[in-house]
Amino acid sequence: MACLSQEQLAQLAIGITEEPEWTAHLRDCPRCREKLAQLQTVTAQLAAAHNALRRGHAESRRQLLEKLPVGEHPPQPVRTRRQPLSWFKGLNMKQRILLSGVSATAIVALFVTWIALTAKPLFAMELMKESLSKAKSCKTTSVMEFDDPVRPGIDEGPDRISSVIYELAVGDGRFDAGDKYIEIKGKGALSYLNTIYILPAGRPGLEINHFTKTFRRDPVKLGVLSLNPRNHTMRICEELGRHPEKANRSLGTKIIDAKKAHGFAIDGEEVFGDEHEDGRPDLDGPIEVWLDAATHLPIKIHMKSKPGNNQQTPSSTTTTYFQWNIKTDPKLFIATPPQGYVDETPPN
Amino acid sequence: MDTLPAAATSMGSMEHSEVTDADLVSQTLAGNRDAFGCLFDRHGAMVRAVVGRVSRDWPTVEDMTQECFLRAFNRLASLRDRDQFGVWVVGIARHVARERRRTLRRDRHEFGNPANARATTSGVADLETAEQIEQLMQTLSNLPERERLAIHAHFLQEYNAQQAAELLNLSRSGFYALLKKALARLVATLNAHNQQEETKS
Ligand SMILES: [Zn+2]
Repeated sequence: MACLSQEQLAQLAIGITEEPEWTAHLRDCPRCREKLAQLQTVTAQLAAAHNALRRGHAESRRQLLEKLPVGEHPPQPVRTRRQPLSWFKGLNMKQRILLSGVSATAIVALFVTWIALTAKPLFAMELMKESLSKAKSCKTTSVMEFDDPVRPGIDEGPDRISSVIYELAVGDGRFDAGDKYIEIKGKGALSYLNTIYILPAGRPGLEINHFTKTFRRDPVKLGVLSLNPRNHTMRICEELGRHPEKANRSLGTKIIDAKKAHGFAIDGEEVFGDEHEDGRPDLDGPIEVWLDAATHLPIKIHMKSKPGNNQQTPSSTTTTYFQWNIKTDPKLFIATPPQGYVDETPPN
Repeated sequence: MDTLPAAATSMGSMEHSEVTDADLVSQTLAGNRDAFGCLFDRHGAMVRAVVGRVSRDWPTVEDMTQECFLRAFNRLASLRDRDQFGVWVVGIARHVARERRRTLRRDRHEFGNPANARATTSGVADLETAEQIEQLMQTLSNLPERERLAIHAHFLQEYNAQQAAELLNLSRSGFYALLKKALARLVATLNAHNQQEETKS
């Protein structure tokens, strides 16, 4: 058999499996044995480091109990506002722009999923949930606009990035930020953003840059943000498990794309909260979602984000042109680099 | 009325008994402070692990940990699902850690100063091993959050396999899948770092 993967070796190191085939391979393969030994050293060190976290516990407990406010019962809760979260850490301008576009679109995807999974008091939301559960695919256009293009001392970025997003219910996703969608004020198109992310569910992804003719495998490594919509779905479900009380505010009815739509405002800070520490924009105000009155599916989603620790510019993201259940070419989600392109995957 | 079952009050052993977190939360809300101490016994180390991401300085870690539990105490009445105390206090810890990270960024020397790097290695006699563990914990602190939490939950003796999985709202198999992914990434990152160091020298 082939050599054991790092994950298989990890499985052996923590003792959650015993595959005779793997054990047999280890007998014959010094390289895998060596890797397993390293993993075992690491797990032993992790155990030691975690044991050390119990140091001084009794004294710490005594101090804590002394510090508890005097009175018979813990006081009533005081709601504190969430602090702005940082993101974009250590990325260059190009990566920041790409990630911002992709994470914003990923959030839209999550948001759609979130709506699909939550049971709200509003009937419209119930209907939408039903419709979404039957949806097989979705294509949208997401436009991210930066409010403040003049940023002295900061790399020049575009004013506006538009991406086309394809998603399948199974979790595959693809984000095309094509050059014809990118504009810089006074400079026309900015072609270095001619980049595509292919993110098949559960498989390594691919970032292809058609301008530099390069590719990177698994763009997740660009930042700690996991861009796989399926991962996010899980997180959102968990988040919901903790905050089942999310409330919606009606925004009334209006005509969008010649269709009648009902709007709702949702507190994104509450929904996306802590789980998206590394990948979410710092939302400014509620997320607006508009549902097609006939199909009950989203027709427009709008959100604003404010400057955070490392994001200097406020921006707004509008996702429109929702096309549900269209026939989507499966080739769109195959992560094969084009011939002749240079592999720029950073070493793992 | 406000007394705890014996198993819970003898929490020095830090063993989980049939007393649930929900019981302890209820007891605390009824005015029993020692019950809150028991919650601290159960989840204190996890909170230290989470806040330890932003500082390796032990007094700072301890200070943040107490801050987390004080906030939890003050807001305890707002906790809806009392069995979720662990998940909840870990959420508070992440929040406190982020707040502190911002302060520490302005005051950069703290994380990088090896003299302060004692949070998990004091008592390790062998200096080389101590350094390795520091390197390991630094690398761990850069892992994606869920993977980091899975490693903490697995390696802290306070949690059995079921409790570790529950802390991440995962099934047992889901938890192990995340854990092995986390370990694989941790080792790969360590190796990449070591290779870089080698080519530098
Ligand atoms: Zn092998």
